[in-house]
Amino acid sequence: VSALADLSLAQVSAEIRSGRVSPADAAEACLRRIEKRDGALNSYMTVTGEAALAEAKRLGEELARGCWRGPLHGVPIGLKDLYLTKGVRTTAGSAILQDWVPDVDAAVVRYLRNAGAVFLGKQSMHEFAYGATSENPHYGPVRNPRDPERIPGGSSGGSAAAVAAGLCYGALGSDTGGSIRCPAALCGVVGLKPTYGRVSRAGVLPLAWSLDHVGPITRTVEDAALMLGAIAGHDPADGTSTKRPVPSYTRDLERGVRGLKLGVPREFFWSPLQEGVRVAVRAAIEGLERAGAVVEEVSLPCLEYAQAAQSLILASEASAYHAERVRTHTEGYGASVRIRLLQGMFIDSHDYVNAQRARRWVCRELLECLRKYDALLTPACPITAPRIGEASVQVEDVTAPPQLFLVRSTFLFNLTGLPAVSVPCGESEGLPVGLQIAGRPWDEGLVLRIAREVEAGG
Amino acid sequence: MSDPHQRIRDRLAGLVPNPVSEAEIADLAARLAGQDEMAEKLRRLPLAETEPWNPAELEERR
Repeated sequence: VSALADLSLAQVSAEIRSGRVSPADAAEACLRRIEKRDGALNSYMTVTGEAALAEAKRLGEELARGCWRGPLHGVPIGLKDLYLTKGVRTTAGSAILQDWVPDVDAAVVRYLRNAGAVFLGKQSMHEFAYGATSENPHYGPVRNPRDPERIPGGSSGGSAAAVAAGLCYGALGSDTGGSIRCPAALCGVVGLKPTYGRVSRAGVLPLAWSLDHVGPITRTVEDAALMLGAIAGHDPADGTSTKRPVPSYTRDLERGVRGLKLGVPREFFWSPLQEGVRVAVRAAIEGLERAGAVVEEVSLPCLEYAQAAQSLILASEASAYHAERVRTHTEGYGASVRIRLLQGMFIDSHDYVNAQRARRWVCRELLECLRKYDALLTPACPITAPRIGEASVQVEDVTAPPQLFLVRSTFLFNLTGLPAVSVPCGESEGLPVGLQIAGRPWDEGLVLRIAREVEAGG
Repeated sequence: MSDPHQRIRDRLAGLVPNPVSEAEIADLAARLAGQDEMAEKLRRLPLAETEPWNPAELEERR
């Protein structure tokens, strides 16, 4: 019998709706697990236990009166510490904001609250989301539940670690170059970055406006679909938010992949790549073929330029957002974020615009490819979780800091705004490996359906 | 011979109030070399007719 804290979000939701488990039982189970394990993992910045229990009790009473708000009613979840939360400190993993208590909630926090979610607290992250290791100079490293000597990836490292260890039933991360999918892959959980504009970013501290996305990290694909259903939708406060209606993301999950046409890019993703990751990802792709999908190699020459465009846009926008604080609080930044922010200040305006022009070209090439293919398949991360403090990693004949590998496979879908998910697809030397599935704009449902087939062992 | 790091010091002087260490200047110089290479790579692309990315284009595609 699974411990209550180990149930999936969908399972605990069904237990709560049936009355077999109360929201307070579920919250207590997570809080006990946090008490027991988070001293070692460091996945939470702030635990709001009392408020969570009070809210869970209230939602339990509401349920007893016959009011059920939906699948998140009474379900305890966590938030990366860059979502504004009214009355709860929001640090973005920084020392500069260590005592900042916002007086409003982010839009998605409001949506989740209205859907009946119970907030357990704010989760640890890479400083200001500007990095993929979650080794935080101010609050210490977040540790990977699969091996506490290793990083969980980042920047949403605390969220992925907490989900993987049963310290919540789901979490919201954010993703500018891969910050949801990379830690999901390294911790063995599911991470979904929706289409740019699908989920409001109002009230989420930015890293780079034109690349930032909001999305869920969960233990199962169905759970990701349930969370996306609760947070997707138009928000006039976010100028990029779409007015498209929100479909059911769970309806087609079990439809399988028979007849789908899936493309595997020939370039870029397959070298440098750890051999164990290659084996696991190839096996997952073969599984999809056996389940009836047609898999073909595709060529995307634009990939040679995508990394340059992403790097310049990210560095320019992050530096612009932080410019005033860098001037007034230079010493408050950790060394690695500070140097990256200074670096971005040297980018000329015409090079930034050029990068945005190259981005359009890359985006068009991918959209053209996706006229022929239903989705693209790639590794989610070319390496498994590196050790904490590891200065460099060797993969094939490339030796470089872990940061350079960690988001190598994911940034393309921030640059293009396309939906992409990382789903666990096996292990290499005992560490989790993720398969990345990316689809057409607004096609999160299909991306999740393919992920569900991988999860089911197709 | 001119100091190759002077351009960096001059630019930083207007951006941050405190002096930046020589180690940080050297690190920054190496990073800027890589960054300039990336910018140069994109400058060579034939993008004359290409406007910047517009997320509204995602709305048109499905």
